Amino acid sequence: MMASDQVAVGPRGVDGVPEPAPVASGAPTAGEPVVISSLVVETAPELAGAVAGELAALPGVEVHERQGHKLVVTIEAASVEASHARASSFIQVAGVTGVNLVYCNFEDEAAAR
Amino acid sequence: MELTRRKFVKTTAVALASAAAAGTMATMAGCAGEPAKGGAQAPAGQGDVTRTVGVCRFCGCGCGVIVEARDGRLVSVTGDPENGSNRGLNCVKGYYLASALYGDDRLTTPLVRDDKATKGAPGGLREATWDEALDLVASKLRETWKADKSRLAFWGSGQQPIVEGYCTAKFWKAGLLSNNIDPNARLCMASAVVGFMNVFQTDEPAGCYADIDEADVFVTWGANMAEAHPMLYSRLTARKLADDRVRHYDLTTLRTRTSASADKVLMFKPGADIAIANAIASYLVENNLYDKAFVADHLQFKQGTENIGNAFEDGYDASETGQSVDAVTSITFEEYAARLAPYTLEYAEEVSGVPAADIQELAEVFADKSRKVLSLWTMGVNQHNRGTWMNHCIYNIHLLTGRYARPGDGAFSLTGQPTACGTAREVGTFSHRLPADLLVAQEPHRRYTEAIWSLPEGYLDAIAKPGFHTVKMFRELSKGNIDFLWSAHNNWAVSLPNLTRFLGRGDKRGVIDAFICVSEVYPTLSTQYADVVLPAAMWVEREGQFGNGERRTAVFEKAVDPPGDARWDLWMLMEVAKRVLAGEQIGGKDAFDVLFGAWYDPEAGAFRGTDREVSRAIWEEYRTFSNPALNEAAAAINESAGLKMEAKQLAPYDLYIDNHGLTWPVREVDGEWLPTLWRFCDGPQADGFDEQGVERYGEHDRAGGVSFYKSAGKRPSVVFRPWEPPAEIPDDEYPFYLCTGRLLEHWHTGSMTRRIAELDRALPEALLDVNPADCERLGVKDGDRVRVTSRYGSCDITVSTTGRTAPPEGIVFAPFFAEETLINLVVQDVYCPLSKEPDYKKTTVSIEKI
Ligand code: SF4
Repeated sequence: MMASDQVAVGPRGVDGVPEPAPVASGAPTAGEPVVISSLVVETAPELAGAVAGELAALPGVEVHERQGHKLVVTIEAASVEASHARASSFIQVAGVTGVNLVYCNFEDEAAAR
Repeated sequence: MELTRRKFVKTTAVALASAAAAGTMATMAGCAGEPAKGGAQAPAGQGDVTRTVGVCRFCGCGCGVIVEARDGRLVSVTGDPENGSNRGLNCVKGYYLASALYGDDRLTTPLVRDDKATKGAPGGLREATWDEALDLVASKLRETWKADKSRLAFWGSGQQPIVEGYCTAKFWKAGLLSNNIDPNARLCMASAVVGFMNVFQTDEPAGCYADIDEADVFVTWGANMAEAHPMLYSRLTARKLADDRVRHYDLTTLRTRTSASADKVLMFKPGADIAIANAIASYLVENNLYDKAFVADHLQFKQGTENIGNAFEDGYDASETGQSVDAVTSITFEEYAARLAPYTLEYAEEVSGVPAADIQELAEVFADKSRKVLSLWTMGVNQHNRGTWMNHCIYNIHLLTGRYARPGDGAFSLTGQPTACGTAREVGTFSHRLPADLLVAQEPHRRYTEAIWSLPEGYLDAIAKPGFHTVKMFRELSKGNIDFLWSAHNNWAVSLPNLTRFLGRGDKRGVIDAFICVSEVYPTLSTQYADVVLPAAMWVEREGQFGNGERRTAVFEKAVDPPGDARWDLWMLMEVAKRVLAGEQIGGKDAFDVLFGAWYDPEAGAFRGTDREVSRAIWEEYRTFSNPALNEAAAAINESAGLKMEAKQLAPYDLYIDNHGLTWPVREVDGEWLPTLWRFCDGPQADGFDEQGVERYGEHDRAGGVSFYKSAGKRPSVVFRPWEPPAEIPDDEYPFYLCTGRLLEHWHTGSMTRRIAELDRALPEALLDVNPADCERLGVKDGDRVRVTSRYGSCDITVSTTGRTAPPEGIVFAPFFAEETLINLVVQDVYCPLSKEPDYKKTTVSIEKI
């Protein structure tokens, strides 16, 4: 179990990974509907840094912290579907061993229904 | 979403994931204030947000979730960090939990069919009022009941919430005095249930999900956990990552996603698993590698009826063989060893195709007491013509090596549905059961139930004989011997085997002529055969309870209202019961009032209280079964018949909400209610061990620190079970084995998940996975359409060599979710003679290009 001081909030650089932009390219911009979700992505320990880099390069994806072989990741996308598609694609990144969903906020989508 | 709000939500998202990654509790500060508790409305970050505790609606893992709603709509779903089953983590299907409620074609009004000739196709149903629909259902049920109650039936589910399952069983068994009630759990867990009862005399796993975090070696037997139990598989892979000495052996008949990440795959010929398991047991005994102290302290040995044939014919159960399948006799350890002796490694290789060296390697894994070994299994073992026997064989290995009921060292039967345990098994919706593991055939069990249900003594003697199990029920329906069928929380027209027979294709008219009521949330193939469709509230549109595979009972609170005229299933049941029982008496009192008057006012047509109050009232009655002290008459029977009902104690209702689920038995100790993670394992109750149970009923200081106090003589039974071949063997006419199963995207028959566009796009079609060498022989290639034909029926399907599974030559695989393919038209309805669970894994088929 990780020390609790690692439970932090907000984007944070991960070993060898440049800090991602607050809203990565491809994500919805202000005013557009947005679904925000967070995940714990598990990786082969030696590949955690590389995976973090690859994930952070994906549209709408930010890597916020690394706890050992686990990465704390958010996805911003225009719909639940798009978020799911993005999250499901993580497993194809070399070194990813598991993708766990923690939180999904779809209040914009609900309001539009 | 405004930028400030977006930042705010994201901050919450990161905090929650960060805490979940660390395994610490997160408070959901940010979006809606206080952590979730008991449906309390929390001050909202934006608008009025309510936050409620829930359980995922989809798979058998039973993950906890927190649900937020605003303006009558769900706005977020979070893995519940306080639910011990999943500790804040969900699988990616969690994205769609809310979407499952909002499919375009939700059923929102009752539907009635005027012309039976329209059955079997879309259309033919018209809108009706609740009164018309309920009057019709009740009048047909009453008419059948009065004329011949062997001709009515209820088919339920391992997805029917607990209090509804309890009330349905009570209505059927005590109200109608009928045992013609069975759940779809018969199709997935029945072999596990009979295995538990035969070995331990109690239907429950001793272990829990936390075993996964402590095991050194995983052995999966006929289980594609990576797709069917995603969260638990993620826990398994996390354990492997945490320690590179951890190993995973996968025993399977075809390569799956689970095999792909296993360290070693033992690919065996269909049905040969019993030969492998016996060879392992034989090797352990022969080489003195078993745990002698454990054997001496805890075990007894038996053998049973053998050469039991197969249940091809409708009359199998009543045949001489069918009547003798449950018989066992005691044998000595030496006799058991002698029975195992023919199962040499070489013989097992010959039968199974698995190299003897690999079987020996696995046997040595079990022999090595420096490492903990956890076996996990599901449908490959249960949906097996010898499913009960194979459950036995896995326990045999674990018991011989003293690996049972100890943290990380155990045998864990995974469940297929979110409340297969909590409802189907625990509250008595099987044709042979009463609540809390009690059996209709046992007189003291009937007396005990009568005491709690306030029935006159002897009232339930009318149901001493079990009713129709699932396959029998539908075989009788197809023969025109059922006049009334009600199904709820299932989709039998897609999930049953041998649909060619059961859907009335050919000259079987039963399904057309019978009056069929289907409670549903979406149109399905089953509603196409319904005379009346009752639109149901789903998931968090009402309060409900699930009991998952680790004995964890959890509540999902009501978060939003159902759409249109859709209503709580429990209300439908009460309204039908009220009409059917009108004017009937039990012990000189109004029958409805005796059974349901405590929570339903028949005159007003309304519950006596909120969803919460009603659920609590029903739970408290059900809980009396495991807390006999709450009922004087029951307590006396419990005492005199030595039932030990309190050994499976359940807690007061609200504690399940406050604690985000609790694993039973939940013991009352000095006014506190303490759950049990490791049943029968001695150790501090506060750490999840079964200190209280062992203290009250068992013995301390026995081998392995465990005491099997629920078993006869406190000794579980090691029962020798021989290898016998599958019901059908491939031949020139039907040269392939067809295996069916589930894949990640779609939950069972897809009635919820196929409403979700992305999941449907991800897996739009059921494909037939075929080995490339077989494709060549058949002259087919990827994307070709073929006709698959068995002795039972045929269907058309598209071939794939790059599908989710990679079968060896001679085996093909298809998922069963797609109603347009309807693979179950082809699947045999032969079942395990002990559990009556059908074998979906080895129908022999031919394949031809079309
Ligand atoms: S693993 Fe199963 S119960 Fe858990 S979130 Fe996924 S579908 Fe739901």
